[in-house]
Amino acid sequence: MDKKYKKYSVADFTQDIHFINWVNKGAGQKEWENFVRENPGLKKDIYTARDIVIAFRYRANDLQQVDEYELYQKIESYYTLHHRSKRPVSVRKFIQYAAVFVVILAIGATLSIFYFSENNENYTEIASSTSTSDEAKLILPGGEEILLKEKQSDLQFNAAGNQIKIDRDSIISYNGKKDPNAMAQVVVPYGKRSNILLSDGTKVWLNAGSKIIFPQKFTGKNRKVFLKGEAYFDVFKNNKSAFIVSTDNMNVTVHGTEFNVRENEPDHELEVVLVNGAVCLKENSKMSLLNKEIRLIPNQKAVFNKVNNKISVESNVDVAYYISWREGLLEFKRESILTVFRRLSQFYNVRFVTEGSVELNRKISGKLDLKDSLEDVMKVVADAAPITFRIDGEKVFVNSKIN
Amino acid sequence: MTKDHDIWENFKAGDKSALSYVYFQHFNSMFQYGIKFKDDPEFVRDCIQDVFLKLIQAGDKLGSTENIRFYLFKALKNAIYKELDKSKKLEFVEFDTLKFEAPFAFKEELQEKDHPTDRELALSKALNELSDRQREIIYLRFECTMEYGQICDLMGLKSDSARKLLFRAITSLREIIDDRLKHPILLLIQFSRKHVL
Repeated sequence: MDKKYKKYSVADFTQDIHFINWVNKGAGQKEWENFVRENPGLKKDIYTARDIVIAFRYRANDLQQVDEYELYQKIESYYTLHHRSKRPVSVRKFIQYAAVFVVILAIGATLSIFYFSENNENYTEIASSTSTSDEAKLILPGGEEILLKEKQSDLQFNAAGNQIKIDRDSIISYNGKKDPNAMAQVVVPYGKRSNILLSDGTKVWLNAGSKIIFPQKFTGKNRKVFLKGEAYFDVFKNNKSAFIVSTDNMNVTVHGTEFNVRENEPDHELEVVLVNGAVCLKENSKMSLLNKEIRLIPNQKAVFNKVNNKISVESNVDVAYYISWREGLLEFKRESILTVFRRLSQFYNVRFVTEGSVELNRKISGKLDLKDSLEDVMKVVADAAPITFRIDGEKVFVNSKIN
Repeated sequence: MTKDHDIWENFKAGDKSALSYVYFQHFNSMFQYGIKFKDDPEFVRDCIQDVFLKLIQAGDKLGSTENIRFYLFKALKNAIYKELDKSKKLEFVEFDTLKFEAPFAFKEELQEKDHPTDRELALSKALNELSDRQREIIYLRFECTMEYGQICDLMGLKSDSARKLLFRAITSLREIIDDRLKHPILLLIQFSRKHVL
């Protein structure tokens, strides 16, 4: 506690930032309590100053009347437009013509609708029946497929659940029968990604080689989506409605938070990394061997191993490392060459073929900028590891450097 | 403060996460500040939208800053002034005398009381007698814990004016609060019950 305070007058206390923060926010409660106790002569003045600070308070206005997030979407669109086009975009024109064209689909409501009951069997059937083509697609509840042309597509579902904005320049109005279980599906093959804004405001970054199934509009008590692959979630806070990410084996339940979910097929693992907020992990099968729920706090990583049914939790992980794929960066720290090739294969949609004796288990570290061409990225890898490579169409032939 | 500087530069350069950071970090305080001038949420929201769109439109021509909140507050105040000036055709509103309409929390609490004490009434009267300028300075200093230099800049005042005006406000209140026959704690308890930060 600074000695200067011993000589302070009422006005001095009232204007002091530390004092104000104590009265209004309780900051430094112990220090100030001690100070008052040690300086009883100042007690009267301190309480007077405190009363004045309290008298000067204003009521905080209710923010609920204003949709903070909706406004952000407008601003973000303008931001993107402005930074994408060479010429400055007129504000007035932007507000008037937010969509370049509108496509209205008059849908016969009796077309096949994905129907989900409580158990997940239907889901897994539908997920596997979708062919692994090279196209990224949005599949509407009616079954219509819309091809997503961008390498990183952008989808926005409005709150009412009847419009979808695609890549910021087209809007689809969906007027199908209002089935509360009607689900939309986004499928991205290797080499493509998608950013999705769900109707509740949750943002999803879907990584290459993944699928997500979700309702066009969330009704019902909870918000549930199904994921196969990898996605980063920024869940819109809603204390009354839990957000559940369901994968083949595990459910991740949150209320409003940011985390990354990754299914690691080759290693039979599911990995969840928590960026902020809190999540609850619970096993997804009927015969659950895991009776308890596992809670994660920020910077923790949980790995669920499907083979031995164990969950391990690691604290203080380097979160950036796990979510750098969102920025198009691939970071790896002492990962095997094999793992790196798998990630590159997923991102660039190529196959790696090893010729000769390549040390696949050899560990390397580095950061790759996935905005670069595969050629440039492989050059970086070839610097870090004793390999040579040759790209031939969709295949990358890798050989050991010693040869 | 260099953190603000860097984020602002990133924002200018087109980094969307910087936009997101700036917006969500400051929206609430911008809203709370703006609504003190006019108790109309839609109006304040439109002004905030205006601020961001204009900032984005300025692009590279935008200056640098070490304090984003201050920059946004100034832009917001400008936007509010322009909008109010447009609609009020009869009354000429000067920028540095924008009416700070919002009442103190104490005033609202007092209205709900059936039998206010003499001291409470005296306090209410003293608060009423504060000028709009003093009330805005109080908001910026106590709620926003803003530095005097920035307060003066924001309000178009000369360097030491803010401190002097605040001192006068404090003194007038002090005379009433100090004049106590009862135990000092009593007044404290009455106020702190219904406070909302």
